[in-house]
Amino acid sequence: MFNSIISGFANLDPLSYLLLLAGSVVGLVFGCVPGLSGSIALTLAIPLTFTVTPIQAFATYMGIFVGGCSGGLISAILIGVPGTASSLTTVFDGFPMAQKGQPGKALGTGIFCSFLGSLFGFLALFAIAEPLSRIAIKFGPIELFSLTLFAISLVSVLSGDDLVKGWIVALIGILLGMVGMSVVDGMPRMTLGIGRLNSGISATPAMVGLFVIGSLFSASLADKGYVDTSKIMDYKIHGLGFTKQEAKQQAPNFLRSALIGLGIGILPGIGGVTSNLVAYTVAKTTSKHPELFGTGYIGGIVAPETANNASIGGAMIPFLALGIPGDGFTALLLGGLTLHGFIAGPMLFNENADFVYAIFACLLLGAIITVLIEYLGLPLLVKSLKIPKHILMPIIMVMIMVGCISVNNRIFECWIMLFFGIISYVFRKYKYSITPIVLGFMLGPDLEVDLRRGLMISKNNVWVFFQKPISCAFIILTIVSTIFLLRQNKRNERKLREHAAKAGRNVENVDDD
Amino acid sequence: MKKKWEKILSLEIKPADIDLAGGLLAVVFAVVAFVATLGTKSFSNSVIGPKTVPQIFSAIVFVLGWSIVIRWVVKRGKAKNVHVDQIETKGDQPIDQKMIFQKITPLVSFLLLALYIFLMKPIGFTFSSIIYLTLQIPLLSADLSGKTILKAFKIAILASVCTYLLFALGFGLKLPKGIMGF
Repeated sequence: MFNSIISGFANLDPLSYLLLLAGSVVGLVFGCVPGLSGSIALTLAIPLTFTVTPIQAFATYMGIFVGGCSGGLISAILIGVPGTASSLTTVFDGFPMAQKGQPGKALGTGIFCSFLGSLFGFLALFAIAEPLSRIAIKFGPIELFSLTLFAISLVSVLSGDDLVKGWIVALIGILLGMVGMSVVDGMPRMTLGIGRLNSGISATPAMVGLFVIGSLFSASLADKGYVDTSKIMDYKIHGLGFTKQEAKQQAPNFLRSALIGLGIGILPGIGGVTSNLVAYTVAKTTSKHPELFGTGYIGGIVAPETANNASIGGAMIPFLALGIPGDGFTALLLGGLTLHGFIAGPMLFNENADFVYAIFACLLLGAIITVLIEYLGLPLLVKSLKIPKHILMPIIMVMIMVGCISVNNRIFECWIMLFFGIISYVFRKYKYSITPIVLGFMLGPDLEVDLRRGLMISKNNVWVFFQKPISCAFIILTIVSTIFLLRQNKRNERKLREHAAKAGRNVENVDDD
Repeated sequence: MKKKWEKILSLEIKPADIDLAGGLLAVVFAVVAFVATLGTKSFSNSVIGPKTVPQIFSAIVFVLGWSIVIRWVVKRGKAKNVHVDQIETKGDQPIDQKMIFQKITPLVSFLLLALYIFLMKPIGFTFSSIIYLTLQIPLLSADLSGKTILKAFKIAILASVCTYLLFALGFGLKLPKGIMGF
């Protein structure tokens, strides 16, 4: 394992290091500013890194990934508004601790736990991904179909509160992914007579439309309402921010939260947001002092910040080993991978091991760079909170246009982006989750190809998917997990209604997007 | 009348009717997707051709969409009285001008984006960006005064020219030039 990482470092050239640094800074700023996110930074970066080598491009992306996930805690603690949804519960104890006059302690604890959480996730990634890919390489189209179906089913159920709506958007994503030339027959389909769609819908403008456009406008509007930077207190961090005794006390909480983050990160479709919520809830329920949570308790910062960063490594495991994105960010990475001519999946390790090891090295180095910037460049990051978003967002939009045009050197990609932006906006409005569309769009074409190849091999015998043990196991898992999670969702919904009835107010659905 | 238009522009509906709108949206999407597959030619001997899977998935979306609509009908029947009370209470609330702005801004922003893309080819990237930014910034700041528009115009010129210089000249990307050549 260590030899692989060392060889990964050997593949990085000076420009890769520079781009990794730039990516970490951009990721931190985008993670720190409420309304922006690492996903937005990545959608900007993908088209702008066409001209560099794949390793240099992924150095940028990995910097953004780690920085974007870590930056959210700064605004969560200092102004009580999470920079990204994955720092949602950090507000519960981080902000009260800052209000009690200990912002340095809150920030120090959060930054250090984010760093350790990232390292924990990466070590798991380095240890698990390659052996898993060696198993997955033996999968044929029959097993791959069942595996992809299982991944999409998990996303549909886990990413929202409504199973039916989850499946609808996942299927819509798959349908959109099928527009253009059919891979098996080479026949154009679902193009509505638009010749430029014969080559299919480019992933980058579609992802930009789905992830970025709606969020940009809503963030600009929300900015006017509640972000108040005048509340920021003196945030100087002394040492690491916490005492040795506190570190000792919080060690079990850290380990538990890291495992939660890793486990949730591995599951397709969900990542930092869910792990952050689950880790906080588990930490509170298992604590000897649950009454302290929400009052500025250190355990309430350790749990969410460890878990959300551990989920980075977790999300990268199915992405690199199986070609299945673990969350929204890795779904975007899949687009980046394709643009640079790689095919995601188990063959990636076999055919491009140097590239994968370079990604490992970038993740590790990205975590170190991020923690250093957070400790040393905190004043600059805090200043970024004061950028007026009604000016920043339209300028970002202009840059996004540049990115979309550069995908195929044509304005048509901007129309695709706008179309997907409208889809995203309308579906969000009617309480649909966007993550399943993205996963469906990215995985749908493979799902169809594997299904058709499987049927060709078996001479149109549908039962072959149940006769192969691995395939059958994934189909059973799909059915069992759907039923189990459906019941779980109904139970949670009932609990939420009871809470809402007690509190005398409506409960809004929390969306993972 | 004015209020009705604001609701239409913001796609706003009562929370209780979200399932109805969401379900119908899925049904419409399924129908469009199914119709789009009809013209697909196939030379395959296999049972599953290029349009089989899209048609099956469209059909499933169609059924699931209707299931949401049916769920809405059932729920509505159960909680009819409660909704009437909520609607009546909401109707009496005063209308905040800023709220109206926030509601219609996303739709107007999408129209501005469409205009931006439409203008890009004839007048070039830089000029279309200047027009877009000059209109979008005041809209998002909910302030359409002359002073804000002038400020936005200055920012628009600076941002558009810098973006063009950076990406077209710096990175060598091909951006639409239009009649003016940049």
